[in-house]
Amino acid sequence: MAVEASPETPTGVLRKHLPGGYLHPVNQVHVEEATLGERMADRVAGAIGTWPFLIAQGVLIVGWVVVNAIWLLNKSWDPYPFILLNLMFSIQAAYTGPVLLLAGNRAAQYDRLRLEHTAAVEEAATRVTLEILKEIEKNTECTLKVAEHIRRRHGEFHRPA
Amino acid sequence: MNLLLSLQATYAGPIVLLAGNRQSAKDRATLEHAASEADKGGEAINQILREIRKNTTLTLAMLEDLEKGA
Repeated sequence: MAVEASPETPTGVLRKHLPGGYLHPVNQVHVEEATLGERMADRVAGAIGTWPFLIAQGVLIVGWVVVNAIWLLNKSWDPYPFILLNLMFSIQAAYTGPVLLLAGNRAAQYDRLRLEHTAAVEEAATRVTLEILKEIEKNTECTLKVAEHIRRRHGEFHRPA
Repeated sequence: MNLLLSLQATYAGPIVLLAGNRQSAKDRATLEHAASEADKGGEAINQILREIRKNTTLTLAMLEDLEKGA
């Protein structure tokens, strides 16, 4: 992210204008400029954290239990208490844990970017505000000179309170 | 017991991710909104600066006229 000083675009300093993408630069940087690993993390976390995943998992578990406990009875590959299913659960949990942390890291990165952007925007806004102040001071100086002229010409000038 | 615990963990992970996904979608939407608001604000502040500069130019012209006439 390059910050360039330009009084004409005080809040647009970090803007990059990617076609068809996000409007906000933090979203642009975070989503559209993510590395392969970050993209994968977003994808996997996005896929696991959905209702279809939860429902499919539920159907799979119920199916496994029904098939092994009721349908196949004596020739089931994983009879009660479902030791293989237990292993499957553990494997799934072993992977969702790290994915959770990946997603958390991405969220933290997002927050950091957002804070940095806010600071940069604020700085730019302050710069423009100071410039406005300077302009107004210059203007007041001029106006005072004008008033002085008028006062000299007409004898008196009522300065507004 | 082991099975129950595993079952719980198997569901807790995806549900936490689900909540996280909702949160980050909300964050992104909030920022997008902020971006469009910031555009308006930035435009306004630039307009103020331009107006004041115009005003100063006018006042300067006036002063020049007065000084010439004096």
